[in-house]
Amino acid sequence: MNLIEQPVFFAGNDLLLNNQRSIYWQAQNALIFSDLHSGKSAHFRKHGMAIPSYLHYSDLERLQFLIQHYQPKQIIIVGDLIHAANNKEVIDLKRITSTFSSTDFHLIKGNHDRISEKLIKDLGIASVTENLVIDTIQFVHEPSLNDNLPTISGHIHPGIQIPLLKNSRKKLPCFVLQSSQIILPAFSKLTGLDTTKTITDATYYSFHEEGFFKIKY
Amino acid sequence: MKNLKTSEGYQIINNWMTADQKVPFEFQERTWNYYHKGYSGMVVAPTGFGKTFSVFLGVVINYINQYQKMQSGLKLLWVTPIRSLAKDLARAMQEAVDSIGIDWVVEVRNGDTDPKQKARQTKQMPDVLIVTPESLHLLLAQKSCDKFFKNLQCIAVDEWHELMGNKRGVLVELALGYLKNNVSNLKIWGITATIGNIDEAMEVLLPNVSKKIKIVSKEKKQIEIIPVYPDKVDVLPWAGHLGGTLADKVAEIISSSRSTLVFTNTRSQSELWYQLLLNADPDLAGQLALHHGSIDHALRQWIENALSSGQLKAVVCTSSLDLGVDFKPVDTVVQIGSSKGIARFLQRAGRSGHSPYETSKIYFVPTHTLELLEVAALKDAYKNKVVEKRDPMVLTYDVLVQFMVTIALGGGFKSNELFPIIQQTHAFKYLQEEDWNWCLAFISKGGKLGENYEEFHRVDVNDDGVYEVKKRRIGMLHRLNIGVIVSDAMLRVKYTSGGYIGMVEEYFLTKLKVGDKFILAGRVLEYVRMKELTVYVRNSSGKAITPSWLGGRLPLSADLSLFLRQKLSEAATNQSKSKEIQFLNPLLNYQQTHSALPLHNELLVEQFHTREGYHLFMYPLEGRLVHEVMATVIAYRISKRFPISFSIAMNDYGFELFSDQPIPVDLEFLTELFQLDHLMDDVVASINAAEMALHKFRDIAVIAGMVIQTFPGKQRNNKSLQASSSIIFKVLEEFEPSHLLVRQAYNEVFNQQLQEVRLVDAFKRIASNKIVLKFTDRYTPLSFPIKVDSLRQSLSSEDLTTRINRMIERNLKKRKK
Repeated sequence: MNLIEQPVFFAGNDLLLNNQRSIYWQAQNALIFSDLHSGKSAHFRKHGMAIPSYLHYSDLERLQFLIQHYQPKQIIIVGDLIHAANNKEVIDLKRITSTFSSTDFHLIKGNHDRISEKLIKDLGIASVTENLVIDTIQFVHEPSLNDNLPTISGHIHPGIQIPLLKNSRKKLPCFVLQSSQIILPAFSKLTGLDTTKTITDATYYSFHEEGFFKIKY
Repeated sequence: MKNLKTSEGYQIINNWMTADQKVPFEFQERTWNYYHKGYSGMVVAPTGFGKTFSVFLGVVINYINQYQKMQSGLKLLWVTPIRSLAKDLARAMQEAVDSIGIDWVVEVRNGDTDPKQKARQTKQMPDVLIVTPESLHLLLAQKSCDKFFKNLQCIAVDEWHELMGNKRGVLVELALGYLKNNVSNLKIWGITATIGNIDEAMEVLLPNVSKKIKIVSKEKKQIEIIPVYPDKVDVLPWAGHLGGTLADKVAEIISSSRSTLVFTNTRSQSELWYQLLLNADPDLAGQLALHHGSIDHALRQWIENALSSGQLKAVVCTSSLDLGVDFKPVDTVVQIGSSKGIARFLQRAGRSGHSPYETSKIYFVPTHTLELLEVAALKDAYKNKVVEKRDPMVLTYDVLVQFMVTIALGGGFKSNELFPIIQQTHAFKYLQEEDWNWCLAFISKGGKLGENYEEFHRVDVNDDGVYEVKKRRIGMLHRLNIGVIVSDAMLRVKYTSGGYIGMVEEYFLTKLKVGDKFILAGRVLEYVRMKELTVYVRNSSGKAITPSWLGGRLPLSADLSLFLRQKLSEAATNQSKSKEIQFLNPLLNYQQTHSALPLHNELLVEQFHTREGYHLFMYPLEGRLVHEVMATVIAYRISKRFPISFSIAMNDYGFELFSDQPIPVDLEFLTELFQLDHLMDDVVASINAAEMALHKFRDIAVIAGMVIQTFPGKQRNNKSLQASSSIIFKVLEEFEPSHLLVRQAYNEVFNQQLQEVRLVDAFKRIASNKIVLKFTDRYTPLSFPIKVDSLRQSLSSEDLTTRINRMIERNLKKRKK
């Protein structure tokens, strides 16, 4: 896996964005990601769409790689860990949490995390909360600028569009940075991208397998 | 066996016809004779000459001759592609058997059939059943379907030319292959209009049948082709603009005829002409109707009935009326604009003057003056009896896996028994065992790696190795989704006050805002709101947009382009005596003076420079689709030598490369550009094949059952189908690129979208041609239409990084402002 990092300074802290769709916060030894949507392909299959599980496995593999790489003490999941109902793919998460049993997994509840808290905890998640404050940063699922604290959130799956040959475009995921908030890209590759650029006055850190680039809107 | 003519059956039929003062056509008697001798075969005859009765009466005669041996139940299965024809056909057949005096029951079974009647048929099949390819497959999906076909004598496939060449044809091939194997002594007869590859068509329908015969009628439909000339020749023709000025002439044609069909090529064009004709002759109001695929089914039905009974003076229509029941009062056909193909033109012409020896009259109305050339070309083609081929589809795995699930539902199959049956069809002659095993895995485990597809195991294999569908829900969903026509997600258009008007494509509506006005069914409508799959509108007036329906633009067929090149060549050498070309003389002279008229073995290239930039025009006359790919490849090849960006435009006659920088080409370089070496590599490098394949994959995923379109009581909309299939496609491309259905999507792109065969042929032809390069100082009659009527696209040889950098730069500039 080709891990490329992009240091940023946010709310008085040094953070490392990476092109594997997560943030590493060295001071807290924390790995932050959002929108894994696990169990999504199985859910789709149940509803008549033959999507294979490849991306599910590749998402988990990537997560495993990142944990091995950073050896974080804690993992903060900014919501939408579980796409819909509990299914076999969801239970695969247990493998990860038990492999890294010394790491604490914290989930900020997203709009998709609708299965019971007990089932979530059974997967090896230490805490399930609506929000979480660590140091000066508040973690929430849906982006919001109303609070006094700078936030890190997910939910919208931000992305940008690059015009290519003829009438086609390429879409790439990105981090959205403003002075008081960061919006994470979706961790799962089995997700759509919101490329409407509704957030202005922000820096979009977009990335692909070979690197990062920065666009301001 | 007795001779046909002395047989009891023949005597009865002969007496019956004589009483009606009819004499059988020679080809009908030949068909009866060969059917009598136990042959299968193919009947080729023009419409209106009793094709139906050639095969149908053959079966009847045979029945009368052997009725002691016959048992009750289904004897003749009649497959027709057109649902709307079935009822009339059944009525005609029932009337015939009644008056001949045999106690047969003729019934229809398709999507319109009442469920009660279907249930009764399932208990007791009629003697003759008229089905569509889809309803035939639905029969095969019934448990213990074998009993339906126990006494089946013959399957007739009507309008085979309409089926071959698309996936519905493959449905027919598979069903025939299966039934041939399960029913002994089954005879299969195809009925077709003339196409360019009749022998192949018979081979596709009747592979591995030794006793078969082709019967071609000697009767020929007389057609008179009459061009409608504009009052003056515009030297610079312009697509579309002629319409208005010719509407008066068309109105005159209508008023001097009994009943007229006005054919247009697209739905938007038909809406436009409906208005034009009403403006040209207000008296037509109430006697003029509009008929196209987006108009409410019931309204269309009404229009068709009104046409039959002679209440309508004229109907403006699209290909929606190409086929179907004959409208007796119609004596005149008008074709607006190029018909793009010979077969289509003749088919439309044949919609007038039905009785066998009547002459069909068709008027050709050019939308730009240059199109008059096509009239000359069409006349030549008609004289030389050239018609386009229909290429049968092969290795359509999506249809195969659907069929396998169908059979698994209808009683199950064993792999080693079904595989040879499939391999005997034309479509799957070259099916590899490895791919067959893949298909088995696909229906039973979802894919090669079963663990990736849990919850998607549709077919179970029992201990005896029988593949069958056990889950009720899967069976029900499969039955609901049998077929290969993936609907284009149409939205229903209704008045807020109630009342249904028709359908528009979802794609069109996404471009509209509330309050926008659009035209449908000849009415100006204001968009009020959308709820679920229904658009609510109210009546309005004033300026409005005409919906542009996708897929309206057909390319010129290869055969017609050949005749067109010849006509142009004749004009260049002043050999032509045809009136159309003489009429076009001012325009052709202008082209000759300022550039050149290409001979049939020449490729004309024009280059010139305007204030806007540098133009390079080429005229291969190969049709829009081929030009699109060709232009992209040529642009790519030029940009390999010089870094340069182009915008591309094309029509059926040629294409344009346009750039803001000079395009340095000379004869030598041009020859190099049209080289055949690495052609397909360059095609792949210059087009976005993945995007095109993704588009094809949508249909494939639905047909193969990877995405379910219809759930009980509701239909998934297009947007979500598109989204689902595109996710599946992207995942498979990355992780399972050898997936058969992904490969099929690419094959379809190369065969249909890129027209690989035709493209290679065109490059071969041009390689042997002389290239004529002309520097002009103005637009020529050939280049002007491309300039004004074109779908423009831009192409650049810059890569992703350059694009990203440029975007960032642009972005910075914006911020500085």
